Amino acid sequence: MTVPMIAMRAVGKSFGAHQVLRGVDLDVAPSEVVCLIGPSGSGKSTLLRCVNFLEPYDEGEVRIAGELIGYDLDSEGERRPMAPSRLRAMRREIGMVFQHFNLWPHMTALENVSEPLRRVRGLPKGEATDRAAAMLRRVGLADKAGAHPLRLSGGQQQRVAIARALAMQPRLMLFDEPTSALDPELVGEVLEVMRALAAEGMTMLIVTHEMGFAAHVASRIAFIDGGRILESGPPRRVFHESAEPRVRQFLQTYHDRNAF
Amino acid sequence: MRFSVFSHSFGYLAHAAGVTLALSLAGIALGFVIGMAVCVARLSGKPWPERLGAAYVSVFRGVPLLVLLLFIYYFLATVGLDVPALVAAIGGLSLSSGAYQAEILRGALNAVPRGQGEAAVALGYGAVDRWRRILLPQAVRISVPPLINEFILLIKASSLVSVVGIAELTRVSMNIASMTYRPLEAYLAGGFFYLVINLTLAGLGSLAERRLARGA
Repeated sequence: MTVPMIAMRAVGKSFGAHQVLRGVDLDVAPSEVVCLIGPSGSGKSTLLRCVNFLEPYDEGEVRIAGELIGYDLDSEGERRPMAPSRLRAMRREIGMVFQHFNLWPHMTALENVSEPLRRVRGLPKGEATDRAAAMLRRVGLADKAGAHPLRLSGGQQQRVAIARALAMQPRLMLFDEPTSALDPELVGEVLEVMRALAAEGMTMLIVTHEMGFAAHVASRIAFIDGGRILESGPPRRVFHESAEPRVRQFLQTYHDRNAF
Repeated sequence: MRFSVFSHSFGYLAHAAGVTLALSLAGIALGFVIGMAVCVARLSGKPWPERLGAAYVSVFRGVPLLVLLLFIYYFLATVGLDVPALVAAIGGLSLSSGAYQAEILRGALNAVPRGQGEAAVALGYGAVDRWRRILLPQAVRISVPPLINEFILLIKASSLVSVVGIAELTRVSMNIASMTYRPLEAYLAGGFFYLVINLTLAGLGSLAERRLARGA
């Protein structure tokens, strides 16, 4: 069996007295696309953010291609924070796309993509610019290279953000509600880019409320509520055959809200 | 109104305005370096730098500049440190301004959305590049208007350095007033030079604001 790209074991996380994640187990195999769904506040974004240690988890293990992220184990098996340089090296391999894009407003679209290539990958300026331009072409924004983020639509901004992450040539991509902040008519263009990425075999872990997208693109759906994965399996099973009452209730509410 | 006072004193006042400007610019520039360092210390997330930064702001914002200047000039001399007047003046101005600039920059950094730094962290940025390339450029842009404010205040406050014997604009205006017995003309002329300096600074500030805002 191949080593999972992401392997989470008994992951727990608390904010003060509030326990957000409770013993979560989740594997994502190479080239697999896993969608995390669930109600707001269920812990799905927190779980996603534990994968690249933007959110330090308190319990359990998160391994990226077999390597524990965020902590080192000493000879007695005690955990201590990982050396910052090694954590940075691991994060370089994990692309992340945020709900609010988080493009840097003081740089053009092209600079947003080329800047990390220069600072983090250490590419010379010309090479970084070329690769950035190629990435913008790939997300259909070659003509927006010189535009500043605030001059772009939400959908365009999110595509630049995807290009920025992809330019780093990550081994996997995390998406944290990538379309939740978009006007409804701009959602499609972002999902289209993500669909193409999935078709190319990128490993993806996606927090989303786009059930249609999840049903068509995901290899697996994980339903989270109260910090636990209550159901996990192929989209068909989770969406249509789940016996878990919370899952059925959640999907029912979703259908009711989207029916008109 | 005797207009000959203006023409006779113009050269002296222009020279004194140069002194004021040079002192203030030195104070502003060193104050910016201090302010940046103190601000980074205060936001470092490490207890000791945070405490030291907070203590710095409390002390140098809490003590009047006049007292600070006199302290630097006289007290240090009594413990055997003979500080030249110019060093005491620039030292006092920059130490004081540094405290204010630190707070301006801190406020601006807090106004940069959290996601900006997070995006850099997720991409594998180290702390230095994250600050230098992502956070500070945005904070500086936000802080241009309050910084210009602070610079103008500093230029006006630089009149206090006359207490350590430096012939800057206010002191020279006073001298002209007492020599000519025409205080009205002398201070009118002095005030005019302050106004020119500060309007120029404000103009440069708007220019910087516009340039930094391009595209944003």
